[in-house]
Amino acid sequence: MDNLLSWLIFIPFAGALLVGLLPDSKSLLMKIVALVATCIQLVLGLLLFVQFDGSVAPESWSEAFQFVELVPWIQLKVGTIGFLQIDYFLGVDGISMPLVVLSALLLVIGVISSWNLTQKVKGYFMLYLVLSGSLIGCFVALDFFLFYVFFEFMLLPMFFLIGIWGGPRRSYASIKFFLYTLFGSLLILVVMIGLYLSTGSFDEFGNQVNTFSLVQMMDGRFIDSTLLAPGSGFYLWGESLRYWAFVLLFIGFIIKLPAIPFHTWLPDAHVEAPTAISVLLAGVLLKVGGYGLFRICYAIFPDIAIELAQPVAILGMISIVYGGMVAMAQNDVKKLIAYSSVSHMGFVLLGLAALTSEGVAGALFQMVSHGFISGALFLVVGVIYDRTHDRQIEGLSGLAGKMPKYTFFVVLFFFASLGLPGLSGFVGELLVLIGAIGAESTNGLFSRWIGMVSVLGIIISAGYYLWTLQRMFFGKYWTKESAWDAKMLDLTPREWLMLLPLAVLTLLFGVFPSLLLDPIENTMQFFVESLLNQGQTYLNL
Amino acid sequence: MLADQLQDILGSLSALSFEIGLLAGALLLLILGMLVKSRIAFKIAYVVVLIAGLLLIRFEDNGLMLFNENLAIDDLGAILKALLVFAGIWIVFFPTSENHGSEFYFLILSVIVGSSFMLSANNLLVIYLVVELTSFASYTLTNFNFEKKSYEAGIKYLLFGGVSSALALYGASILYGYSGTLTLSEFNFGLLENDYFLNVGMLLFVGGLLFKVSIVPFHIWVPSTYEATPTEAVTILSIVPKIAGLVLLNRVLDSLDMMGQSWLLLSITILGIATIGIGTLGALRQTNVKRMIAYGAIAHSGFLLAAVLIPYQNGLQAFVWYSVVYSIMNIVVFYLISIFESKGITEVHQFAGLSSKEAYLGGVVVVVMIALIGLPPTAGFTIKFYLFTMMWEWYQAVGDPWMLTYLLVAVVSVVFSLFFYLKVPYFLFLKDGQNQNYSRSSISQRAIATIFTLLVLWLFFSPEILNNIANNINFLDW
Repeated sequence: MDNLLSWLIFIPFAGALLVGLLPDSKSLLMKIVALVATCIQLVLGLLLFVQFDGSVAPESWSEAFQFVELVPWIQLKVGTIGFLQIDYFLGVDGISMPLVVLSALLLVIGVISSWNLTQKVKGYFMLYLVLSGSLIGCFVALDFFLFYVFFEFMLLPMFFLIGIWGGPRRSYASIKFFLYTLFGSLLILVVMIGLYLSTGSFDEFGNQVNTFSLVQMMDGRFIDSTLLAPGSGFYLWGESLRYWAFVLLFIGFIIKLPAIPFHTWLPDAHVEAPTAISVLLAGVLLKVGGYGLFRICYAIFPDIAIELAQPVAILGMISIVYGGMVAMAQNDVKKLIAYSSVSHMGFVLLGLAALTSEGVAGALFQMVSHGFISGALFLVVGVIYDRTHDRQIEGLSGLAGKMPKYTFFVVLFFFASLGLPGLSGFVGELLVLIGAIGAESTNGLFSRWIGMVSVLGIIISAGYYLWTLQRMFFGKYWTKESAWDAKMLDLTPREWLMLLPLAVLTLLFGVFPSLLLDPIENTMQFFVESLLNQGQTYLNL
Repeated sequence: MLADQLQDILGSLSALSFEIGLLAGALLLLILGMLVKSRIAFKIAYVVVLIAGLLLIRFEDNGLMLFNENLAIDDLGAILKALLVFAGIWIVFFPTSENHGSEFYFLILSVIVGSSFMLSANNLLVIYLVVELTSFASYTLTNFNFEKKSYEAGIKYLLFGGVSSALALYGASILYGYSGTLTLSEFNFGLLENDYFLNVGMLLFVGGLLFKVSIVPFHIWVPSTYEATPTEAVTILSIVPKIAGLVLLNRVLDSLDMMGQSWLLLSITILGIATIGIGTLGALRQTNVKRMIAYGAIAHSGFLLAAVLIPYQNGLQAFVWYSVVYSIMNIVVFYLISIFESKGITEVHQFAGLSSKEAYLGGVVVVVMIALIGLPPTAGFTIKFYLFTMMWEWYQAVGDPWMLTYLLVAVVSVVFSLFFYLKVPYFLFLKDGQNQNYSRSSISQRAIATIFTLLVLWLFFSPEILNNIANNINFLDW
């Protein structure tokens, strides 16, 4: 199928338009439109997974992408600088492909999970579909400008989705979310301007043509003696401008990821967001941050990535351990999962910092598997919340006897999240730790103890998950308010429909990790090699 | 000799057909006001005058000196005159503009004429005269709501304006004393650059202009004036004199030869940074929508000033981009304010829960506010992006750390501006409130708002048209 990626982006936009045109009373029809649009997205996503050719071993980034679409969009003559070229440039490689498929899946599940919505249905599904399109757009855009547009375009729907359909403190949480992420994205904007003014080529008339193409930036087609060209000799406060550009990008993306100390918006947003939005937030939106680190921060600034490997790894380690410890102190299950997300995203930082093929592949695997697992965990909490409108751990006890099927899923996902072998969470974390501990002997970027301390994170996560299980699900059956008793029924068919696919995938990727690791292997290999080579070259300039 | 001068005057008059046309139209409008009492007739006459003026605008690729170099016309001026007229036309659609007599439109036309002269003034005294022409009309417009508040604002505006124009006049006299000429393009202070008294003169004269374009610390009149003035007049005040004043400022700075490294240029740069900062921070605490937008407009002045400070073609191109989109955004935001004002809604909290009755217009408000913040996919993002590009380029060219600071402050201010611009959508959609008596906006109102909103979106997706305009202007170095 031609233009597969464009279809993936624009089908939800078309769906949003369609929902907007329906009269207010037809709420069921709106839900069906949303479901159909996201289902088509899922089918296309699976098609992408199947058709993706993992055997391509690229020599440069310009060869690494498949399903490429390139249409010139804007060409401007900018003052005396030259020309500015913005393209509608899409493509996927081993980094973005799994994330696209993951998003497509979670988007469908999100629609199913919001099926019982009764309030302002039209606005909800319009925003939801706009969000879906922009999310996919973010992962497949290969033009920095296009990426940035999609990146910002996610904020507004998310702001309203949390702010209108959220919990009691929704307005606080939504503003906080918006401010944090907008701050991050403006840091990215500054670097984007610098990068495009530093990247490009000359056309046949000798005019300078500046481009936003991420591929050219990753391949290092910098214009000599511009501010962000390697070895250009521009310094600010004792460090090169490339160093500061990396730092700005890094902060911009770890706000989204999120990592300590920029994580505080996440618990608030998660607690207040409706279940489906929590699923998307944890499952997909956080991955945009990780993806940005891979694609932009690391691939374009490999020299600084090498220079700063140790601090980044330490930051990852702190996120892992601190996030886990804070999670243990939580009484609200959603908050607990939010902090555990911080902890698990720390593994992404750690694996990426290691720049070994295990570490990097592990980081990507961790992102995908965390997408399934955290999405599922929020759904699981949603099940309780739907019944009781309360999420306190103390409020319930001994649910295992009353809701055995539900408890089965809870146990499965808790164990997956704490890294039980055989489930997908284990693979990612194991690979990351192998990579991190091995970094000292392979490329010597940072010392062993960082990885070793990070192992603690797994133990801590076992601590809080098992403790939660014990308090809520085992022991004598008890509910805080007697009115809840009647509502404590086991899973409905709709809930089965949401949880089962995620459970199967968690198991599948846990037992056969090669399903995911094989197609991305070549890209990961190339990512690591080119980063280390390029980085050394740039550093020697 | 005399014959030559007469020839010059006669030849020059024909080049001023736009200004003369508008002036004649303004006078006719006053006479019409004595004969007819129909409000609609005034509006129609006003629009006819503006459109006639639009047709009279003259483009001169290579520029033309008029009246013994007292005035000069060029492409940039012509384009911006068209923009001023365009901004002027839309105010007749404002729902709050129902009760104005012919004198109101006369004054608006005076502001537009004064501002178009500002675009061509090349002589210190002419500058003084046309700035006063614009200002006097503006002072009077401020009082047209005939309330206690508007008198207060009018007096405030008048006092500030009077003092700053007196100081500017003093500054002009110093400049004249040093140079021996009133003509800007003949200034040559190259050797005297560090003379203390000359610098004072420059500062005073430039200060008078900074007052017109609401740069900190000359911005104090802005919020209360915007709040008390009829919304359609605010639209004009926030666009027309500001754009003209900044072009004039650019020319004055150019001719004072301060584009080199002088402390005066540095202090204006710092004032620009302060303008963005104070405009943004001041808006945070506002509860009245017009005051809030007024502070936002102050911040926008800081952005426009950055474009003025970047020398040569690059800065002016960014300026053209910014001013076109800024005008469109301001027209639509004040149009929306006017719609809500006509239903008695002026405070932010009054918007609470309106989305249940006004969901569509609420959506339009969101897009417009997003544009004012400067987020994609709106042209508000494009212009900020373009401006930041030019600032980065200038920083790369000369390595001036203040330009980098300017850029960073401008970027950070966007985060803060999110906070206040989003207040209205926030109350509209996120808060619950009682609006029993609220009557929905009419279809025509929604249609006009939609047209402008689509324009803001369209200019994001295909900015080529703006780029063509900006690139076809032959920027002249006077």
